[in-house]
Amino acid sequence: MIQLIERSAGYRAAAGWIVGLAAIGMLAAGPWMVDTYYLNLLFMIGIFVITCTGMNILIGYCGIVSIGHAGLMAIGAYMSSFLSTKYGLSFWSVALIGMVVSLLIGSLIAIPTIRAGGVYLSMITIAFGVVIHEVLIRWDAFSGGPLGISGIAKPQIGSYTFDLKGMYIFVLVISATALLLARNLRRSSWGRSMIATKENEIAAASLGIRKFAVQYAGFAISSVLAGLSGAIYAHANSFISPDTYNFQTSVQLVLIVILGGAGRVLGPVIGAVIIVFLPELLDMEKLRMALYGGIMFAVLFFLPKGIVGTLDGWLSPRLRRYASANPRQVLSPEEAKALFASPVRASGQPILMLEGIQKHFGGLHALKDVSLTVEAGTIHSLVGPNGAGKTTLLNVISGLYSSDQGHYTLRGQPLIPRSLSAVAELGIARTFQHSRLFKELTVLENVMTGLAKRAQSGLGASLLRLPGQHRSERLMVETSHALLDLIGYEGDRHMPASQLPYGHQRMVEIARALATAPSLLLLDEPAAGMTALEIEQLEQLLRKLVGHGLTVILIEHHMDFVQRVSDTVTVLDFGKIIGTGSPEQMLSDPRVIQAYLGSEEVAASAEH
Amino acid sequence: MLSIKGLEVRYGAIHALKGVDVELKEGEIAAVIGSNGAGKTTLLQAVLGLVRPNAGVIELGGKPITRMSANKTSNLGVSLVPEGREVFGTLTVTENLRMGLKKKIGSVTKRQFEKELELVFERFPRLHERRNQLAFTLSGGEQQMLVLSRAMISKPRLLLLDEPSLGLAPIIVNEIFATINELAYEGTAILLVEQMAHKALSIAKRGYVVDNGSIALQGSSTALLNDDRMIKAYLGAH
Repeated sequence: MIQLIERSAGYRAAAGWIVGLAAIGMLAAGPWMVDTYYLNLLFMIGIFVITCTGMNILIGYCGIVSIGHAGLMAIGAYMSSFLSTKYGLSFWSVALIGMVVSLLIGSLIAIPTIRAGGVYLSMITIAFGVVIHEVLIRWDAFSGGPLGISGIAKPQIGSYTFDLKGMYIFVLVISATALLLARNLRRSSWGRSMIATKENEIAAASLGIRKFAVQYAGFAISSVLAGLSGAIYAHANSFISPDTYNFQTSVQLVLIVILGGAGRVLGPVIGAVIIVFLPELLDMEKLRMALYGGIMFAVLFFLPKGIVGTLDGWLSPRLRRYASANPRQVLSPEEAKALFASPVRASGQPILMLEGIQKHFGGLHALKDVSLTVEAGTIHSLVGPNGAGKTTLLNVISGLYSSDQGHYTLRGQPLIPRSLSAVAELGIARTFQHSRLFKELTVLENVMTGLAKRAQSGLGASLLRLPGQHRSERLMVETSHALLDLIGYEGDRHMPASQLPYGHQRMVEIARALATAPSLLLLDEPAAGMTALEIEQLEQLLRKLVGHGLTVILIEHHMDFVQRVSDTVTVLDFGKIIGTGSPEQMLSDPRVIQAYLGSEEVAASAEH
Repeated sequence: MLSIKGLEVRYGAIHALKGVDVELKEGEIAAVIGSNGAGKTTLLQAVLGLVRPNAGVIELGGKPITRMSANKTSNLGVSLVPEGREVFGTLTVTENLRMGLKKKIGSVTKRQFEKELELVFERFPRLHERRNQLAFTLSGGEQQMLVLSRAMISKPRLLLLDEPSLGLAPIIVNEIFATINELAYEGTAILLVEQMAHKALSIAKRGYVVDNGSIALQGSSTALLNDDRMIKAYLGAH
C-alpha cells in the first residue's frame, strides 16, 4: 500500500516535471513562431512573472501586501543603468549590483513594515514607492530626472549581443527558475513557517518560530527578484524613466498576484498573462487603470482565492478521492523514544517552580500571588471555575503574557519568560483553548511546522532544495506521521486543517506541540469537544507521554478524567490558589465543591 | 415542530450526511450524539440554512424550509448557538445581549429589554457582574453563558445548540443544562448536539446517534442510556 501510494506520488511528480518542461520548451520556440509585437508582450509577461513570484512569496506566503515594489524594481533598474552608462560596466556585474542594492534598501523598509503590521504595513510600502518615484524625478545627476536614462547597453556574452529574442529566452529561464524556487520554498520549513506566521502569529511563536526572521526572508527574496527584473527590463528596453515605476506599476504587480491566486506557485503566470494581454485584446490602452480597477473589484468579489486558487479548490477534493490514504508505519519503542529529544528526568524533582506570580489587567487582578511547584514526570491539573485565572496562568508560563511580579525556575534555572518563541525553545510547548491550527496547511504540514525549529534548514538550501534538504524533509514527514500515529489520529492527513472537526483539531494540535520535543507540555482543555472514547484515548496518550519523561500541566473540566489521570490537582478561584493536593483530596474539599463542582456533581460521582 | 426526512449533504467528494431523519416536537429536547466528524454540526447548519442540502426535506411547523437562507429561517424563529462561543468581542455584555433582540420584527421598548436582561442576570449572576465589560475580556465559560443568553433573548421557536457545555466548569454545566431544560419547558423545541452524552440524554426526550453521516441508533433517552452499544462508545465508564 505504502509503495503504491509513493509510486503514484512519484508518477505525479514526474508528470509535473514533464508538463513543466514541455511548456518551457514550447515557450522557448516562441521567438520563431510569433512576430516582434507579440514577442515583446511575452517578454513583458516574463518580467512580471519574475517580480510577482517574489511578491507572491511576500503576499501569499507571508501575508504582507506591499504596494511599493515598483520602487524596488526601479532601484535595480536605475542602479544598473547608471553604472552601465556612466562607467561602461557589463550587464552581468551591474545587474548583480542592482540586486544587492535592492536587497539592502528592501531590508531597510522591511524593518518598519514588519514591525508595523496590519493596515500600516501597506501604508509604509505605498509611502516607500512614492518616495522612490519622487527621488528619481528630482535627482538629475543619478536618474536623468523626468527624462530618464536612455541608450542603456544590451547585455553581451563574448561577441553576442542579446537582441529581443535573446532577452526573451533569458527572461524565460530566469522566470522558470524563480517559479521553481518559489515551489521549493513552499515545500520547506521556511515556507510552512511563513504561512504559519501569517495565519496565526501566536501559535507560530509558541512553536519557536520567529516572526521577524521568516517575514524578513520573504521581503529579502522579493527585493532581490524585483531588483533583478528591473535591471533586465532596463537593459532590454534601452530606456527607462521614473514613470515606468510609479504607483500604478505597484498596483499592477499586486493585482497580478491576487488575480492569479496569492500563495499559488503558478498564480503570477496566469495573472501576468491576463494583465498584459487583456488591455491589448480589448484595445483599451487609455482606460488601462480603469480596467485594472474593474478586474481587482471582480476578483475580490467573485474569486477571492484567485484563478489558480479557485481551480485548485474545485479540483483537489475530486483528485484526492483517488490518491488519499496514509502511509503508516508502526514505530518501534526505541523509535518512539527518539521522538522525544528531551532527556528523561528523574520524577519527583521539581521541573517548574513559580513564586508569587501577580498579574493585573487594568483594574482586574487576574493572578494573586500564585506559587506552584510542578514535579517532573507528573500530570499536574489546574481546575477551577470559569474566569478563575487558569488560562491566564498558562499564558504567563508560556510567555504570551508577562507577569507583573514573581519568580520562575525551570529545571533549577531561573527563567524569564520573555516571549512565546523564547519559552518554546526552552522546551515548553502548549496548546490553546480555541484550536489555533494553521488552516491553509494540511494536517501533516501542521505537525511539520512544530519540527521547523529542530530542522534548522538554511534559506538557501530550502530554495534550491539541496540533497540534504530532501533528506531532512523526508525525515520530517516520517516523524510527523509517527507523531500522528502516537496520538492516534486516523483521519486523512493531507486534508487542509480547516476541514477538520473540532475534536480532531485538538488532537492534531497536541501532535504539533509534541513535535517541538518539549519537556513540559501545557494543555488547555484538551478534552473539550471529545467523545468519551476519545477522552479515553487522550488519557492513554498522556500516560504514554509521562512514560517518556514528559511533564504535563493540564487545564480540564471533565472531572472524572482529571481524577483518573492527575498526580496532583491545584484549584484556583478568583486568581488565587485555594489548594494543591491529590485528586481525591482536592475534589472532596468542601470549598472546591461549593465554588466549582456543585453538590449535584458530588452526588453523581459518589454513585460510582 | 421540526421534521427532517432523508437529508443529504455533500462537500465536494465528502458525503457528510447520508439520509438523516429527525423528528422534534414543540417543547421537546432531542439529543444528537456522535464522534467528531460524524456530521452533527453539519446537521445543525443545514437546518439553519448555512449549508445547502443536496437532497431531503426539512420542515418547520409543517412548512418546508429546506433550501432557505439563514436569515430567512432565523426570521421564522430558528436560532443557532455555534460551537466556539461567537461573541461580539468589542461590544459590552449588555450590548451583546441587545443584539439578540435586534433580529425581532418590530420595535422593542427599553423596558421590555430590561425585563429580559433581569431574567438573564438572575440566571447567570456572573454576567451581571460583568455587564459593562467588553465581551472579549470574559473567560471562556462566561462567553458561553453570554452566547446562550443572547439566543434565549431572541425567543426562538427552534433552538439549535452546538456543544453548549464545551469548556465549562461542572457547576456551570449544570446551570446551562438546567437553563436548557427550562427553555424547553417554556415551549422551545431544542436540538442539542453534545459530547456529554450522559447529561444530554438525561434532559432529552429522544436521542439520535450520528455515525459517519447516518443515524446509527435512535430511541427514547431511557432506552439509549441503557443500550450496551451506547455505553461502550459514548457514555464511557459513567
